[in-house]
Amino acid sequence: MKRILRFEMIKIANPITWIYWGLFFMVFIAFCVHEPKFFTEIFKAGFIYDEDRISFSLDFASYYKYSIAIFIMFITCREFEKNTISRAIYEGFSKIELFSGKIVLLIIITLLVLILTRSILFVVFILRGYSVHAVFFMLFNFHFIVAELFSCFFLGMLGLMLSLLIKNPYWAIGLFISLAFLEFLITFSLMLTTYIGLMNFFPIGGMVNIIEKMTVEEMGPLALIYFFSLQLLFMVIIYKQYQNLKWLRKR
Amino acid sequence: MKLEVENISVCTQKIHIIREISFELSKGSVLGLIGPNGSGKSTLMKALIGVLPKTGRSNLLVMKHKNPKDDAHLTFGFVPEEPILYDYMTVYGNFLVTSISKGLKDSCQEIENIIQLLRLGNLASRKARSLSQGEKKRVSIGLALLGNPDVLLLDEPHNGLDVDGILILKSIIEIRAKDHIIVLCSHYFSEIEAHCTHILALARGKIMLKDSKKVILEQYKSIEELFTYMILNPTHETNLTV
Repeated sequence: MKRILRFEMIKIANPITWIYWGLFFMVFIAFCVHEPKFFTEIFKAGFIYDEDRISFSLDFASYYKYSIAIFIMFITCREFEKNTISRAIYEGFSKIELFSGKIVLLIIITLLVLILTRSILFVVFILRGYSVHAVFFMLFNFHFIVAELFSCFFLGMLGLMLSLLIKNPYWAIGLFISLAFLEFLITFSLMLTTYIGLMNFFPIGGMVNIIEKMTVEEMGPLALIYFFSLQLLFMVIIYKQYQNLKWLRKR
Repeated sequence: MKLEVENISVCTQKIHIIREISFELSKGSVLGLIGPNGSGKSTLMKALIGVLPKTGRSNLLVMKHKNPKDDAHLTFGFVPEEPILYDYMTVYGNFLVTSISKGLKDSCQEIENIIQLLRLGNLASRKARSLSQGEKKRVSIGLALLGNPDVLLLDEPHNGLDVDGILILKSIIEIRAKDHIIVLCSHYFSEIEAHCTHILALARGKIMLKDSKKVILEQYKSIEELFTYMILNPTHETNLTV
């Protein structure tokens, strides 16, 4: 595992990665400092379990969920495009090692991004004059962390699956963004109509519901099964794609 | 050290690309793979290194020691026909990635030596995407040499190389041939004649001819003549097999 992790890390240690995540954190910090509304809302959401406020903060959280997914898609697709994945196989890695390497890399990126974004928020809140105790309680709210962690991982896996199926960065990322936009449109239109109850069962808007359930109230067993079965399905598809790797895809 | 290949077949989408290929090579052997385009030379190499799935009763045996209990898998170094490099990384970075893939420790000195050997010193810090085809080929050869593999598989290694590159490759093959196993696939028959101890001729995925170079050259004037005969008589494989 150490070897595959070193392998994955050395491949992403290049200027593209630094620029991508540098820009990400610049935008994040700028938003935290200059957006008082977000600031107040997300802060209050930690204490008062208000669904609207939490939804608002989750809208912002989607910024880094999608960033993680797009990044993992980009690094996966470029390997398939140049066929370097085959080189990794003949140089000594098995398909299962490559599969587990990508999943572990996704977990590490998710954890790092969550820790860093929370650390930035922590500093910003302290500078704004809130008490350390209050800020700590808000930022490290158990449900909120679990919801973010799982949704980041979920979208990352969705991105990874799309990359493995499509293998072209432009098409894969394009389709992913279209799906994200479609989800937003459907959720938005459902909220505008009287069919809000439908969202509890609607698969596309389901993610928003589950995250809300995880943050606002205890997650029900049905939602939990739905959530984990989706993750499991993605894992299986990704695994199968790695098992089906062939040198000459045209044949 | 011995490489035994038993009945290797590769079948993709119900088409047999290679059929029941068997051969045996021991330390110090250089096998020349020849055959017309589409005969399965590259496929055989890719099946050997495990990139393409082998089907049927194919069995690849690798033995390193006399005692079967000490058997270990032979390590392979492969030079693909089209160099596969991480374009966004430097040449040195590509070597580092390969050293990790092959599980090498403290490989910096070895990387330096290979870079010097292939005269890549001035390219080490350049991105792979900015290299010419010949330079990429040199890097690809260097990557295959990393870790001093037991078996070296060279798929059209001369393609794209300049005279200097061909001379370097020649010296590498000569030095390695003494205590390694080399499989060389090339359309440069002079190189095959110069280096190989054995010849394996493939046509439409089947073995047409398999023997030592000495025996073959007793029957044909040159490898080129054998190749011409194969092209002109594509159905006479049974007569040809020695």
